Amino acid sequence: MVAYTIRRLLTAIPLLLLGISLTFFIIHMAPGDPTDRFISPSMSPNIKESITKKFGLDQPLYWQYTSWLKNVVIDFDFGKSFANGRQVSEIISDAMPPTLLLSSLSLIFGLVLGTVEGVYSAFKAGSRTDKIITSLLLFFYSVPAFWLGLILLGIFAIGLNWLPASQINSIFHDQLGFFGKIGDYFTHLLLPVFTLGITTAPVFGRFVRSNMIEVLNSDFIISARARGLSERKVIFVYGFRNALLPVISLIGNSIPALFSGAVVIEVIYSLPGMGRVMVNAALGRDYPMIMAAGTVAFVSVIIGNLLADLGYAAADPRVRLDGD
Amino acid sequence: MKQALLLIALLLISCGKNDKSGSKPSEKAYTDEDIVSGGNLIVGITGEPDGLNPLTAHTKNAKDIISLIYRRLADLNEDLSTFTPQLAKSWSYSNDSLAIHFHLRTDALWHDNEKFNSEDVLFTYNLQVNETLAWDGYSFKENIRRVVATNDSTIVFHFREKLSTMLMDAVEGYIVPEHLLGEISVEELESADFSRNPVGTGPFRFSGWKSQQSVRLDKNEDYYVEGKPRLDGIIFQVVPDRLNLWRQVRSGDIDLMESVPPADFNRLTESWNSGNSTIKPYSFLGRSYTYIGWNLIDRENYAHVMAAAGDEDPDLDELLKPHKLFGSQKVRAALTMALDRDAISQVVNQGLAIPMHGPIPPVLWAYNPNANSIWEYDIEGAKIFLEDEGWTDSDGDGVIDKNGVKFSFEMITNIGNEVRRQALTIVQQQLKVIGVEMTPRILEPALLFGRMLPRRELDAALLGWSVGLKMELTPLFHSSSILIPFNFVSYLSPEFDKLENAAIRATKSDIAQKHWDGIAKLLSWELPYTWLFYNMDTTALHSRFKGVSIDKRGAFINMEDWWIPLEERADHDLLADN
Repeated sequence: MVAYTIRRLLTAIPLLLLGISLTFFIIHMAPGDPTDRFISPSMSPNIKESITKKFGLDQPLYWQYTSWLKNVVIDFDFGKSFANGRQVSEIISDAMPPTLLLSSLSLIFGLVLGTVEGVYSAFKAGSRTDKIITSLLLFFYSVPAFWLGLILLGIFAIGLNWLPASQINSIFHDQLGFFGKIGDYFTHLLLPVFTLGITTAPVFGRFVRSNMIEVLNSDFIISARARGLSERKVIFVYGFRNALLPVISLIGNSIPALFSGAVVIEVIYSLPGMGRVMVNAALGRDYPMIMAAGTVAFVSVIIGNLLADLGYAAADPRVRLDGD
Repeated sequence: MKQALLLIALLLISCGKNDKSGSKPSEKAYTDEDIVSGGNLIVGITGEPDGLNPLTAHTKNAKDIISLIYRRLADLNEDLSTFTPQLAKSWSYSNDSLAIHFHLRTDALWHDNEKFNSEDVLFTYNLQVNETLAWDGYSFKENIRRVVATNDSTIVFHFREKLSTMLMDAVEGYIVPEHLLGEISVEELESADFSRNPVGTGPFRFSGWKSQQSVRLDKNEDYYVEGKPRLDGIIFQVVPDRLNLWRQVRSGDIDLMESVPPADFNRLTESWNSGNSTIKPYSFLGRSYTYIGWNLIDRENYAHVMAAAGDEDPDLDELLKPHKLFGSQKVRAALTMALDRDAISQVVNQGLAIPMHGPIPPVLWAYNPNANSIWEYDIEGAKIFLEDEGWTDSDGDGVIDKNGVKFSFEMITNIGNEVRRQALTIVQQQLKVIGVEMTPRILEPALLFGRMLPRRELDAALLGWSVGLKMELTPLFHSSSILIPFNFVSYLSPEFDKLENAAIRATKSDIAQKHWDGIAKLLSWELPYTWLFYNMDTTALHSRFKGVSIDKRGAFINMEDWWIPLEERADHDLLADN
């Protein structure tokens, strides 16, 4: 397992390099450059030149590429944001916690909801309840998270004014006690987590349902039933455990999707996270910021896939990893 | 007004206390004895500031916050030509009028309790003119020859030329502390910790920054004006979405918002006037206008000549061949006459704009509405002008043509500006009436400003400029700007150059005015642009704040004077210090 993990990580390196190099060249080929945001009639032309020079944009592209790569690989230095001169790594470490909080809460919510839905509808397979749940799952599976987010925001935050429409905590946050702080986060994160969670739930729900049906029709369940075990025991002890194990692998696979989903949800609910950082960076052609965010996204995909494979192997002894 | 007040009073009596925020609109007159300190202001902003060092920050949000933390030598008054002393107590001109002596305050302290002195001013000036730093107000300092600190409290600015803008040029820019920045290299300045932990001499001191969430300022107890500021603190809350921000203003969570969308602003004004609102609307001539720029030159020829010239300077005569449609003044006049500018400005801005006819923004001192050559809305006149130039609908397809060429072109604007998009549609319809076929094209700003304007790859563009407080048109129309993106219409006129050079050099205001009038007349006659409308700015502020001045200089000009009567305090006025 250890050897396998190491080998997978090593093979991930060229993949990562390829990905970020593509990002680098695509973003540099896009029209416009980072100095555009300084444009104003009262600016003298030599200012634009000196800004270009300051950012190293006067150098040939291959030189910009190799020096960027060198800094990242050797010094682990992603450079400074063109927009505000801060270290990119610092900006990311500020923006990561809200995104991680949102993604992990949504993952938990989606996972629990999806599993319950899946088990229930498998148990009632073919019934009316199953059909209703399946259609609901299909609905939330198809509906774009940003659309659902806007609708919920419109109803609960803007229309009814029950919940805050932006930010992760209120300006009173620092004055609140421990439980006050938790409550403050809760009201601010309820809608975003619900939106992201409920659109993730069907992924698990559908998977759990089909697995569960398969398991419930398998021989060992039939024999368990034949032995006269209670239905509760059949489903929860024998069926559930066997149906759930493969879900572990799905969690790993859903990490990248969850991350990109969180980015969109953050923009809608005005949360201070990677979403806003990435959107601003892309619009302002903030190359160092875009590159760093891209690298984070690539790494999350690679790690997600790796976790999926490892999880699958751990869950199902029939799967053997080379190198074990 | 009296009736309105009476109405408000009656409403207050009848409504009782069902107002959520606990405050009520009241326009009662206050005396100096009524003024009390305390309370907080929450300002809603749509983006995080890009640092709080006045030398490296660029965004408007950053500059607003900076204006509260730092001080200049003097502040521009509402007339945009006289100044109020700040860090300089007074100033005097030398005998030859080529130098200004500033006498500085000796009682001003930096927020870290170090004393402010002339070395700070000199240090700031040296950074402002540092090419590597690329300060965005650099052009203000171009006429300054050198700056000398003669003692701790006196600093002398020497100028190259006697210009009317000398005082404005000298005092522009906030003074930064030498004792904190002196050791930092120019390259490191923007990234230095100082940008997120600023220290100034202004009425409010920096107290905290939550990334992408809020910036907090606290009252500077040692501010050099006794008893000020009155407010305990100002919090800048980041809400990226304007709709969302507006909602929070209405619910009382946010006190101040600038650039309220026109429809919301009009509704607010209505309910304020009928006494049903605790949020007060402010509207005033803003700092931006919208225009159509006509490319005066043949773009294919331009591309061809520029490519041939390579790194050499191109020959201007060869470079600037007239555009096949807009090369003629009479055609531009016809296009201008075909546009109903009153209607356009009313429709797209919902009444929050005034039609514009010439190059000088109405907020600037040199503005004289009578100086412009005015092309009234006149469809028949437009058609006659076009016929005179040989443009007729010879094939009866509804589009005029000349020598087999149709009068058909693209007008571009940038994505993300609804007002410009709407204006573009109306312009298209109005031009169709005179048989001109215009296709709107909406482009990504990066493509537009990064490629098309600099390379003159356009026929016409519907865009806007923001207005600086200095009276100059050099970047837009002067021959020295012929190759830079701002003069993307490639306007070249020796007469304009002569007039502008004279206007800037005139030290007597009536003489300067005469030259600016000449410029207004010339440009509004030649029409390199068709100016469409001048935008009004809209600001909404909770009515519990008193002593407020909001005008064309913005909403941040006198916040040290703002105060809140005790009986009108809101929940967040009680925020404890932390």
